[in-house]
Amino acid sequence: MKNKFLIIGCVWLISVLGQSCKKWLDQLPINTVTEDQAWKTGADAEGAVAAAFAIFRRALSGLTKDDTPATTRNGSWGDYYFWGDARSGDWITPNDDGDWGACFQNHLKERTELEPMTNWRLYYRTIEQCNLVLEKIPSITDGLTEERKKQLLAEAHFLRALAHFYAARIWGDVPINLEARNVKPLGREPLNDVMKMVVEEANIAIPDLPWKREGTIKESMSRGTKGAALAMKAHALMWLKDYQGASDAMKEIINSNIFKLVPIDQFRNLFDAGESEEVILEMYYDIKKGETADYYGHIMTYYLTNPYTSRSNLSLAVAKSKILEIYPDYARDGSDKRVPAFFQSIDFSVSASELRPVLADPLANGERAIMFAKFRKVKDRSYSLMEAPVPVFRYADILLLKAEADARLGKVADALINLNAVRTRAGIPEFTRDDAPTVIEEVLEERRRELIGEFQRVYDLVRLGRLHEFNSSITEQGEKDGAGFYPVSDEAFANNPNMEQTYYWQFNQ
Amino acid sequence: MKALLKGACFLAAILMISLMGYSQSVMTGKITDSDGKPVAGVSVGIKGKSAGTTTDAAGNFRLRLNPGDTLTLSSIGFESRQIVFKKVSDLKIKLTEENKTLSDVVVTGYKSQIRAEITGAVSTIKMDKITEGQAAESFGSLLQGKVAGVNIQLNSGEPGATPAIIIRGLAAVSRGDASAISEPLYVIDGIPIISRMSSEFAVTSTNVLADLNPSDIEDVVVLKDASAAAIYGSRAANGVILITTKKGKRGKPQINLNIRTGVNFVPQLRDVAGGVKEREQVKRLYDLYAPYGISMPAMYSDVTNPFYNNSSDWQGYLYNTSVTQDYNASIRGAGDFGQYSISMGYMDSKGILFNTGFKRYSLMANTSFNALKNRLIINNTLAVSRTDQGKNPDGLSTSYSSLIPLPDNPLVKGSEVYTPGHISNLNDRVRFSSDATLNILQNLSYKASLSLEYLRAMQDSYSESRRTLRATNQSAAGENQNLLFQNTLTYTPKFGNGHSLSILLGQSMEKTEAKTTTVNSVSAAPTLSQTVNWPKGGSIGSSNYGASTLMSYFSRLDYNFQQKYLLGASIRTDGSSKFGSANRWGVFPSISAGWNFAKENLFANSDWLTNGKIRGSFGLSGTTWDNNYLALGIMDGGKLDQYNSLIQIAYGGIAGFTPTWYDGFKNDNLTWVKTSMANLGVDLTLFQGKVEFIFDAYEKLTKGLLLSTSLPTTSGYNEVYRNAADVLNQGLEFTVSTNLRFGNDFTWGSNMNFAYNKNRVVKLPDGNADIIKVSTSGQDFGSIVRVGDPLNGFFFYESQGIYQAENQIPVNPKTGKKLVGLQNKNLQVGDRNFKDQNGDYIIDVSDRVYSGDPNPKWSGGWTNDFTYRGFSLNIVSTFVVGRDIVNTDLLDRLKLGKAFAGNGSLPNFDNYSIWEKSGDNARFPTLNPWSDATQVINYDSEYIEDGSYFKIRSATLSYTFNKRFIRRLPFDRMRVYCTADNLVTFQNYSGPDAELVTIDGYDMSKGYPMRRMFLFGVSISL
Repeated sequence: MKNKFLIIGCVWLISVLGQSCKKWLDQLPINTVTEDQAWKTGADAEGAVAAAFAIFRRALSGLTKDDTPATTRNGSWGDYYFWGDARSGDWITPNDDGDWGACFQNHLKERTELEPMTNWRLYYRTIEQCNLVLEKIPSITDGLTEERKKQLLAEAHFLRALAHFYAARIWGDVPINLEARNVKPLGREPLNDVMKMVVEEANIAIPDLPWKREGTIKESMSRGTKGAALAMKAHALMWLKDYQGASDAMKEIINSNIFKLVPIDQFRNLFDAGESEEVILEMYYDIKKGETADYYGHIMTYYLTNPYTSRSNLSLAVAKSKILEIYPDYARDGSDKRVPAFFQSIDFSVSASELRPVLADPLANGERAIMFAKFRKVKDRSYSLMEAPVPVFRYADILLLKAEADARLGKVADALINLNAVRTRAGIPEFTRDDAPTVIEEVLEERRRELIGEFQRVYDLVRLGRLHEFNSSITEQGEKDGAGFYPVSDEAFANNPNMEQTYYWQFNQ
Repeated sequence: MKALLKGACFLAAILMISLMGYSQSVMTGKITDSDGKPVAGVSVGIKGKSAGTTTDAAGNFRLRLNPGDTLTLSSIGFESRQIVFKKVSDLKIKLTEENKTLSDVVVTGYKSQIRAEITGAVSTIKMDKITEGQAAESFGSLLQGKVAGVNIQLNSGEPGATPAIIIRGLAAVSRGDASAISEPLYVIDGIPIISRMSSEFAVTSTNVLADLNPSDIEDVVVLKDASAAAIYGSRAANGVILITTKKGKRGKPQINLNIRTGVNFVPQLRDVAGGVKEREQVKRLYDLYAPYGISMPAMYSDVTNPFYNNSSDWQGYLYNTSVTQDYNASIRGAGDFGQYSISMGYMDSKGILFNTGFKRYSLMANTSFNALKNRLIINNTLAVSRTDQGKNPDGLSTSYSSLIPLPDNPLVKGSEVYTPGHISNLNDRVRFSSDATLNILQNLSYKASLSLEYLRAMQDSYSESRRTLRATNQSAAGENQNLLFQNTLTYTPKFGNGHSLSILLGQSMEKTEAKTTTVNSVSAAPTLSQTVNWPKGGSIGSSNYGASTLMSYFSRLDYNFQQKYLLGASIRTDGSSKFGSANRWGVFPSISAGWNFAKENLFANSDWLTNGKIRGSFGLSGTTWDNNYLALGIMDGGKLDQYNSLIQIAYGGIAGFTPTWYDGFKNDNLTWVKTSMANLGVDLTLFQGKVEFIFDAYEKLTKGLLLSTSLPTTSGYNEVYRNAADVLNQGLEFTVSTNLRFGNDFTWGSNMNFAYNKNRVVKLPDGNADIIKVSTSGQDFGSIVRVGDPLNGFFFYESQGIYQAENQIPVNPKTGKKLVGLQNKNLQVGDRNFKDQNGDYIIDVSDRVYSGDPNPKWSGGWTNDFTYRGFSLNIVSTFVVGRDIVNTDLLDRLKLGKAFAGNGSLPNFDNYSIWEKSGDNARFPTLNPWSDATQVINYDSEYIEDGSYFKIRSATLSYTFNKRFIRRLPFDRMRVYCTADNLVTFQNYSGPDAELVTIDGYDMSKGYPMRRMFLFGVSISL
């Protein structure tokens, strides 16, 4: 009897202890996935690369308090504008907004509202996502062809280079991070080294990238393509003053015959819809897919008013006198077709409760009340649904950049062909002078005219060390000390003894 | 019918036996207490037989007995006894009073031990007497001041609030304002229970332990040191609280009723300047400081407007005397079949603040069956309870300006502006456990138990904005489940000359799940619905789920030689799903030894030393954290932004996963928070238990507390969690208790305990960088965690008074410039004189210093019991000495912003010395609301005060009608009592109550003051 119990007990105990299957301790969440689950299939790979682009899109638009508690900003402002355009000396804030004014005058540390613009966190998030893609995707086989895998990896190379490139244009010397889960305190690398790395990464990516992808032009040109990688490479080489290399890269773009200058009357397709053969790289926005910016997050919010949005005054504009200065042909005879395409005057006498009509004369509203309307939305007086894609590179930009490179190489004739192609489209006379310095100067002016509000102007000036000529708040010495670049945020110094502030910003607000 | 027949047969059989039985005879016996006085009403039974009787008033009983029968004796207030009847002389039986012996058995981890054989620091509190005279929402508050080293702070007076229970010093670090508490593990009848909902899944804020009716608790055992607690492994580092519920006792069924009603009185509230006084104060501030062109709001100047011509006592209106009712009934009994215990309770505690209160419905049924000739014992416990806590949203505030009319004012009566709203918090819990113990051999037993716990929490709230009249509804439901399967094998051989061994082997598997669903809506029109009706748009919902599993193997060995030399060792290994597979298992060993030196021959004839023991222990235990999946590297699929855009989710219509940038990546290195504790103790019993003395000294080192450390921005991640912080607690504990008897009728028992704890941060991440705590909204609230100092110290500016004259403001001799105040203020007479710690002639963040320690240095309690015949008086006091607290409430009310007028009530400025003009010997600086830089700032050391207090927590006066005293009592026993709760507080603190502060030392009296209660009750035993 006793033994029977003993045996039964022991058997029971052993069976209990024996069933200690390891699975008991494997608990996985059901409302998300873990790192081990996230990199299994082709769909995971596609999603991860798309997610990297989504982070980059937000990086350009600006970080918010969701991204770091160090900032108090609820929504981003469209920071690509503040980095690439605000300090060019061309802009005014008609309602005398203090934060905007401070930015125009290069007082970048003075205002807490501008602090998020000094934070590069989202650029390095983009880079980390790409690093993870490059680490994890090679071992994925389920539902992923070798060809597609190569493309995705090339896109990751391209995008992490692009994020470095964009950050370097903003902050100058920036850390280089090409390793996943790299928690080492990285110091800033000289801008030239960053640009060299960008070129190397572009060279890795270009062979595996397609010229075009399936789908609409916007779907195709908002991701990594040969054209985009070549454009980035060319821009980087311009910073490295390797004009021959830049010219060659851009020649490839031109020879591809994929891109062309579209007539001015198709500018709405180009700027509002992003569906144009002139686009080389843009950030994807589309109401049909729910990917829109609202009150926050798109610079259009600030320069559009009724009839496009419910705003009644302008925060951001180009003064009439400045427009006439930038577009001398328009001032002379009204010939530059870009002025009516980019600027509008609104009939403010009509009640704000109605859709206000747009006046025939784009400059009718006088010095401080002309609306910059290069990118605009349908007239519906709501804040929501800003869906104009954010441009990064476009064909006209590349033609003009090549003109600059060629002129610097002494190939003035080549330069003039591309310069005049852009001028002709705008309806202004061809440029005929052939001394290289004058041509270079005119190309720069043409870039200013063509690319106004497209986040290129400040980078052009900083690249050439000439921002101080156009922004009276910046001195020549200041620019040599790094005033053209944004200061590095305090957050970048946390747990990073190797971080250094830009020399100029160690002493200036 | 069948049963009746059976019974009849049985009776007949007994009769036959008794007729035939030559040896069986009717015996008379007498039962006395230890002083020789007769004890009436003792249940006398014979083990294995149904016969039984009770003693009469003279303590006599008559019963038929055979030699060899085992008599069972039980009576309330006395130890139960079993005596084998051999001869007539055995029938003069002495019963000993309960709770007076040292040989009582104490439930420790997974087993019971005789007190004399325990080698760890273990304290036992018998709850019966406490709960009989006091009504409480949770047992936690009843333990206050009872155990040395267990610091219990009731830091909110809200019915159903959670008291802070910290055993042997705080050992929790956080960067945020969730004042992290190192919580003990709670075990009820051997089953670890859900004692708290993790913040991620907390739907209601009610104390989760409040659903356990304190009247159901027999005793509470606190395992304080590692040797006692380490058997609970990964959750035991902060101590273990073992709760044993009441069970049936042999003898006739015992029916108990306890009915009480309490009146809750409003305690001292904040002082408020009412009506004319408020008007005068505001006028004076405007006269003194208002810049040109700024005039008083009409509310203050327009005396003729009846709407503003009030002196409303908002506190008086909203705080009112309320009533607490508590009813408990139980029936318990036991016999050879096993035991049963069924109890029911209903408590309704109305809060002193309108619309608040706490209700509890509880039912507990416990039954045991003995089968296979007592070799198999099957035990089932079912506990069902509901708590219902009512709360206020911020609809009506006790700090409204006194000029605003009260809601019962005819001017506003019936208007919607004062719709207060309501929050209902409902917790339903079902605990079911079933276990079977098989006694395989005489000293070998196996026990298997399965338990399931289900806790559902629901919160429905409705609130309305007074300004916009918009109504907000929120509805949330949460489920917490716990499934536990345990197996233990116990072997307790005795051999040789007094060698006694006890071996325990065990295994357990546990799974904890939590789930929430929350929906809310905002509607433009006020509704009265407390649930969400899903209007079109404006609604959003979310849900969450988390689960964790634990698998454990444990063993304990205790050996003693003649109870003289004691040795104990335990080991437990826990595997948890919360860790990466590489770091999944933790091992928690402990070792302890004791020496009962009083049993040595040297003391054999000592008449003063009854018992004496020296014990020491060392062991390792652990804690984990709430986040179930932290180590796995949670991926993020993005979320809709605030305008419902997919911009954070998809790109070109393709969505994917990214790491959760805040929690870092997969982290296989995350592991247990490991606590090593050494303990040295002495127990002394002198003069046959008249005086008892317990002393303990401990050192508790908590290593690897989970803390986030920020990563360089270049990594892409914000932060990663690491086992990064170490905290050391060292302390001494003293307990002295006396049991004295004066004459025949008067007794005095007292228990005085006090504990000293020194808390120190030993290690922090990032090269021991200071952590200045920041709330989730980014607000620095003035607490610092710094290596070498106690946790959560105040990081304040050092106040040196007030500048009374221009020449007191320091001038930099090098530059000739005056000291610059905070926010670059040009300092003036009347401003706060802060010490320029670094001598740079600018007062800024770098001048903040460690200026106070909110951790109590000394805490303890003093309990006194007096009895005289049927009367008894019980007084419980608690105290805390050596603690700094911040009078946040005063600070907040003196901190007047530019728009202060009409914003709320003001304190009566006459009660505070506030600077107005040169020469004012004032404590507080100028209140100029329009100053560029206000002089009333957080982090001003002037507001740090001494938080020591001595509180008479409760006083109970009772009279017991007992058959010992009144022979014709229709009941066995009846007790009438009245209790005063929160009777009086002695403190230096200038605020209302020095106990109503957060763990990190900030005043919370704005939250909910502690009521003063007078409770009247009667307890009847049938």
